[in-house]
Amino acid sequence: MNTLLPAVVSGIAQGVPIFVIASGLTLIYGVMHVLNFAHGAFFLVGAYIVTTVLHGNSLGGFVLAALAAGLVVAALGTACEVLVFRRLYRAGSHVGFLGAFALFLAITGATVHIWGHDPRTVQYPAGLDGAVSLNGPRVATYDLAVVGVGVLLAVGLYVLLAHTSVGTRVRALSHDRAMASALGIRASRIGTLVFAIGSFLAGVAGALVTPVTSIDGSLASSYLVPAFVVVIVGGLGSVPGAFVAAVALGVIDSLLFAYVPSLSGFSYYIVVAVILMIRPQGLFGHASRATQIAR
Amino acid sequence: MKRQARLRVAAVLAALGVTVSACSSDGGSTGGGTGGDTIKIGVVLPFSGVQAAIAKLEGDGFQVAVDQINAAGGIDGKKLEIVKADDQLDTTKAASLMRDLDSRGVKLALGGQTTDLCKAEAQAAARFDILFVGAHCTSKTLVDPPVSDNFWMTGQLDVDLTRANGESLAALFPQVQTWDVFGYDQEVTRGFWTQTRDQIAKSTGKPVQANTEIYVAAKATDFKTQLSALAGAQTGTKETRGLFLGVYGAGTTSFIQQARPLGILDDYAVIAQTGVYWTTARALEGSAPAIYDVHEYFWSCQENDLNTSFVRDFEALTGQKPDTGAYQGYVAVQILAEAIRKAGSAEPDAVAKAMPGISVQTPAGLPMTMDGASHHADGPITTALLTGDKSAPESIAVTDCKTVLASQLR
Repeated sequence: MNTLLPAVVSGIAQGVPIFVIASGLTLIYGVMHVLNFAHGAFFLVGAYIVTTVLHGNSLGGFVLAALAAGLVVAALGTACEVLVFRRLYRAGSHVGFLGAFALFLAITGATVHIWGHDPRTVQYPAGLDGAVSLNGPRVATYDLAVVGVGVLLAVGLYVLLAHTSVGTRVRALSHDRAMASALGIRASRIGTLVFAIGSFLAGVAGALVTPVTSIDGSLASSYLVPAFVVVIVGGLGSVPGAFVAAVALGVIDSLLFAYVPSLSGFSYYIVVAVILMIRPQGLFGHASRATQIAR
Repeated sequence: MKRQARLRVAAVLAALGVTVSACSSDGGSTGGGTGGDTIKIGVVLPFSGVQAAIAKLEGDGFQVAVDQINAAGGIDGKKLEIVKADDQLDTTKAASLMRDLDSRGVKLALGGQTTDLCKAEAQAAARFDILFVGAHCTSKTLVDPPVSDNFWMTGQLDVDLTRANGESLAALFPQVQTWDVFGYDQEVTRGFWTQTRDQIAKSTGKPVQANTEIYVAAKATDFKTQLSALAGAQTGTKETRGLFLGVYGAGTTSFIQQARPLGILDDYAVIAQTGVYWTTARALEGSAPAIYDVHEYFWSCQENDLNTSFVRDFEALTGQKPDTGAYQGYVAVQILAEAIRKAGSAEPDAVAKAMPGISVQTPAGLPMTMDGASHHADGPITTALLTGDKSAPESIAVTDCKTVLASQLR
């Protein structure tokens, strides 16, 4: 018990930021069928926006900076959807993936021009710079706050997708684009909205990691690989699946470190390999349907 | 037709992406062709990618040395000209990079960011008859005997760096008896710890206790689980505990940021690291924890005319103080230039013959001398305590400096 509780809490704290990144990724895939490799670059831009607009360490300032990061990245994602992805949808997923990868390179390259090569850091927000003791071992207050934000975002996304008219249209589009369009849903407008929401989440995720990591170009890919693993394990296009997968992977990694340390660095790869063998469509995926958003 | 048009859009985007990414890498060539009055020197570094920030400072170190030599009239009237090549931290690019340098008339090259890159680039350079100086290479496996006849190394050996660190730690913190270790799960970083541990034990005459050793996947930056375990596993009092860090780059920054709220940074009498801490300490803007570090050079540890001019010219070029990578680049150019002077030629064979016994004074206050048998230069190593301090230049206070020649440690 002395090891189990802190390991589980640390695992959840590790998994939730990955969920925030993966949620935008899987949302965009679920509706637009775009495996958006540029998401890592959006995430990086979100982190850089915080380093630019945030001065000092007030909690209110940090919240505003995170919102600013989300909004700027939402605008960037919207521009990318309108100017790039919209022209590539009918060319097939492989062309869309190429376009996304090109955007990833272009945006990460542009960040070097704008913010330079030198790594940056951000202070913890006031009041969240300590730790709490869990039966001995300590857990950072900020990590617990991020878990709270992640849960709020998950609930917010669920409510948006399952209990609003916009969500109904998004789900209709994800199930059958042609039928949804025939029923009068403006597919391109909903697509742009989904891209904006997904990009907003990437920007917020970038903001959330700023106090705990080095902010430099390598950030674009360092969180992207675990996020892709989460999307695959949860089921392509499933937001609830991403949440469950992110938390489960975080906890499994943490427990492996506590009890089988030699395997902890490989936990994500072991889990994704096992899932692909026994349930290729992912935990919340459906074999006969390409998308299953908010199921 | 429409499908073709979309493919064209994707192709144009891909080209744009690569172009912007490449432009941002600062890896473009600054010269081409063979000039009668210039000696072209290739600088091969990862100007793009995760180590771009480090490579930029290293490249600036090469540039300062070249500028100083050119300002003094060059070598026998010939100016030096740098030709940059971006290896993107990828060993598979070594052959194509060397072919490209060869086609540009480059027969002398410097660089080598990692052991694997040093080896690959040295061997690729040999195929094009290019002399290659490993300025940033530190592995003993590369020299004595050298990986190829054309390879010469000026970076100091990591075993000597760890010996120096262990010796200084034993002298400054004799009361520290127990060490926790946190590092990347790599042979080289595990080796840093064991060599440091053995040197502390040798210097103090007492065995060193390792309490908790935690190794994480290379390049990982999320340490929440491991740090929670580390925070709950300490033994003894603060005065008797030390922490050895075997992470680097973004890993060091992430470790510090994530360890801070858990109070881990305040739980030890000393935190020690082998490797580049300067970049991390600067990024932390005055809040960098005190870390006992070892490398070849810390700018404020020496007071001599050569160091003064190096620091002044480096600041004029970059607006920053030079770090150890910049120093390594600077000294490698000085060694190469001295060999060209002695040979009276910039032909690689002649320069190689002139290399043994070449000795130059360094900004670290001690000379560096090239050994003809091992192809490795014996040079200074410096240990120092680096602490975040907003009132200090670049917000880093450097104290407890100690500089020795590597050969004195063996």
